[in-house]
Amino acid sequence: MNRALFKHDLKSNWLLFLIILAIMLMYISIISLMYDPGSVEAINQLMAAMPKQLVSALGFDTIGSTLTGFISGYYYSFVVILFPMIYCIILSGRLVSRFVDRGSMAYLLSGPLKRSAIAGTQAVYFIISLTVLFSVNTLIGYLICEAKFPGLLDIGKFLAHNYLALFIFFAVSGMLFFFSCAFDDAKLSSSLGAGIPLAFYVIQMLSKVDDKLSWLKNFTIFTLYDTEKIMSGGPILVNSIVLLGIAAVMFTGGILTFSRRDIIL
Amino acid sequence: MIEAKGLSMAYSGGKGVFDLDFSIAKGEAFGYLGPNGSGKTTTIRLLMGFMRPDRGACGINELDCWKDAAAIKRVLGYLPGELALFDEMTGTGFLRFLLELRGLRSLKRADGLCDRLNLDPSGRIKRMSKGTRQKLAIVAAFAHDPSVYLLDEPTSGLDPLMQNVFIELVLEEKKAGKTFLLSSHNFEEVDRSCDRAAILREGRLVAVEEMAKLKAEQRMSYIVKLAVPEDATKLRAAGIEIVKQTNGNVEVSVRGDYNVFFKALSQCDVRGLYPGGRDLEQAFLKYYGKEAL
Repeated sequence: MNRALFKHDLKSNWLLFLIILAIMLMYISIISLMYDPGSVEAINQLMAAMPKQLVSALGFDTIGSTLTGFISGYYYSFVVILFPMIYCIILSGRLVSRFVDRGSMAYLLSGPLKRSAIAGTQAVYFIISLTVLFSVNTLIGYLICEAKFPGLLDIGKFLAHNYLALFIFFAVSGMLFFFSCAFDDAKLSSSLGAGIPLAFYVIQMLSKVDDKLSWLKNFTIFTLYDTEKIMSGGPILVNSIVLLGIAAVMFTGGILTFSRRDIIL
Repeated sequence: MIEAKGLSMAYSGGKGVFDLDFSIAKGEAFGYLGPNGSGKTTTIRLLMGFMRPDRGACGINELDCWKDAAAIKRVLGYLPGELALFDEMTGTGFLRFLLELRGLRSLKRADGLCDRLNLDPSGRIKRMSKGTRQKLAIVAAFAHDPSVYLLDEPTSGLDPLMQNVFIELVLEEKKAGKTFLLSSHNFEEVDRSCDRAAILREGRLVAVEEMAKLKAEQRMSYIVKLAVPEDATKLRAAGIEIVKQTNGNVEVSVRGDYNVFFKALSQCDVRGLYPGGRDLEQAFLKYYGKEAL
């Protein structure tokens, strides 16, 4: 971990961070303000008049009748996946492979820094910036909901949505970081780095479209972001541990690969 | 101080460096001469610990260049052959950043260097000319007062005036006991700054000699413009090798003994004397052999 390099990362990547944060904040404010308890009440009355089995079959009891469910359905199953993913794809290239591809890594390596310290600093920047991104997002989301609908937000579930999303992106960023560290050619690392999370994303969408395709969910990391399980109060400890495990392995692997490979500069 | 023992490393295309053996003493400036693609940059990459040798090893200050790369660089100044500076920064920001990476703060030495090289580092690197970038890279290599320098073609893109300033800098640092490995394809620059030099050809060392000895082997080519073309026979009679003659323009190749050359010239009616082709292959015909041409 090197302070000068960390400072340089901050200086060259703050704009990307702000843009992604602004988009996410815009979405969470719009979606939480769109929620209207009155109309949900009307829906609830309608549901009560119907046979219970029918309501369950249609799956209405999991869709947002509460504020938390509403945000979960509209915000956390879409916006919170897409935009941090874009952030990770862009940032992973800017943190390692771009320096190697341009040749300016020669200057980072001309100082008395171990390669593991260089890669480690970049990994720490990645992890911290994601943590800040999600923390600000959580805090602002909470404040908006409390201001507009005091007491309606199920804080436990809301927090669970956020930290599990953060863990998902620890794992995703770990993978992208590994690719960024492993190859000399930025084209190769960025196409793998962009291709794999996008493939996960598409696979996840397909698996939701049709029951016949639901087996696909075994092939995407986003399945571990189980918002339904959070809403039904199920334990997400296993998901969290698996995700943090993937993140630890990938970041460590990236740092080790970078420390041991030949870099042609 | 700087040492290579059986150092070998091949790229997938078959190029690379093979069985390099040399040793540079403290306070010595060592020239590393060779045409493009002969393996100069590869050697420096190995010394910088960017790559692991296939066989053999190299070391600086008794430390291994691959294993102890970070420790070595505490006292090492590096100038890359292919400049990739941080384009989005200003020159000053770049110098400060490199010093901060080392935990240093003072820009005093860097400022002094900028003055001597007549460099204004305040502008964005993106907008700097090739020569200005090269000056910035020189300042970056010298700014932290290292004791060992690895410089890969340090004067490329500099005008002759700045080349002189650079050579002065090297000589001063040498006097202060600093050690240099200076790669170049310019014999003159190496001649003026170095004590010894190695000549590299297709990844192998073909000579490691004192400069004086290399100089004796060096062929210089001159174009003599004669008022009377027939005077060429006088030159030939004095033992001067004539490479080509077009009327009064005679291209001669001189090796070592300049007195013979000038005595012969004094017999002729000379209208002009110009340096001829002086590339490395020509200068070191002996080492490169006919097939290299």
